[in-house]
Amino acid sequence: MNCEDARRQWWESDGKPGPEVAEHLARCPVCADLVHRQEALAELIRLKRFERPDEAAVDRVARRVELAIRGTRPRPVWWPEPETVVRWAAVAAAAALVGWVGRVILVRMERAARDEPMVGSIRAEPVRPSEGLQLVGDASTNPAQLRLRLAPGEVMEYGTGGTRPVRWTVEVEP
Amino acid sequence: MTRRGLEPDPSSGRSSSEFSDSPTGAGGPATSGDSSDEALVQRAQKGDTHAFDQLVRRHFDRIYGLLYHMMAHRQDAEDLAQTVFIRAYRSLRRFRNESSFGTWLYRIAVNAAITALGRRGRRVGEVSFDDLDAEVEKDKAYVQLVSGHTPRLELDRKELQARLNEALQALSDTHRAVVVMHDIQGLPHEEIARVLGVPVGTVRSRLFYARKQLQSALGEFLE
Ligand SMILES: [Zn+2]
Repeated sequence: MNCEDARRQWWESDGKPGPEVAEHLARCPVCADLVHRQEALAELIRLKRFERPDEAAVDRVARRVELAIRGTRPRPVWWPEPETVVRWAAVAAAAALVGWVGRVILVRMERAARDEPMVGSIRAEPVRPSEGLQLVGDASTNPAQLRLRLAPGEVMEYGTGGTRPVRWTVEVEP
Repeated sequence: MTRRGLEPDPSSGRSSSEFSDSPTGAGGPATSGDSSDEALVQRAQKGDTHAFDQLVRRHFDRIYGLLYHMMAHRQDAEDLAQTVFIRAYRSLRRFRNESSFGTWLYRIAVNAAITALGRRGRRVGEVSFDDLDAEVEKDKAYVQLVSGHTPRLELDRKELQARLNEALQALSDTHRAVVVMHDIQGLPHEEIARVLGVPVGTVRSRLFYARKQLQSALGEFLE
């Protein structure tokens, strides 16, 4: 048996190694030292066993448990555990949140689709030549700004309103 | 003072491994006057709180021990033990004898401890490390064990205890749970795997990792 197998088997034996492992430990000082250190550590940890509850602790707890359960019966099997109720509530809240967010997104998408620009139905007409042109449209536009090139060198911009019909002020570069 | 063992007295030579499901070594059907865990559980499932009281008293030391070593705080351990037993009583009808009552109870306690620790956090500075009973220092077996470990260092026993506690508290909750069950309470790997509901290999690797961490923290005591 090699060292690796001996150590693994010793570990898996939970402190009760078989004869083969014992034989290896007897002739391999490196593995024997490793095992010795593990045993020494386990023994050190075992010191914690000496810390015990005070004598009256069991009576105190038993009495308080008795008071809490007196006159009650164990819950029926179908009764959910408190943790399960909390988990269900969390799942329901998460589902409601996802549903709400989904609905908001859908409504916005619908609105955006409705607000697709319908440039074809917009017409421009002069209001006061000094101020520029006024676009008159009965169609809605999307919230983005549009640029329409009317003629070479002449750019008009218009922003959005949001209600229909919309009147757009068009500024013409001099 | 009569000592009630938290765990079986290491000096008594009694084996501390695995849960004894009943003092009579039960098995067979529950008869009247039968005080096996199985019989007491059957009665408690029907609402017999007196039977449950016997179960509380029988399993208190182990459950308290687990919680105490997990929480490193006597009052927290006591409060949590109460919670664990009440929770166990309320859920008793779910207990189907697929494992021993002790294993089932232990599972509730480990989960309760890990949840409580998560809620409490490390609470640095509030964890009581001064819980070593004065009685312990008078215990011959304890003194023998400690002096066996510190012949040259002549360390104060309280210091050793403090360092040990510190090293245990530095472990993650899941690693400490395995160390407590295996190294302090003497449960075999397989039983711990049943309590935690994980493969035995997971228990072994958690224990291996935890021991490695403890070894580097307590190296000077292991020379
Ligand atoms: Zn070797």
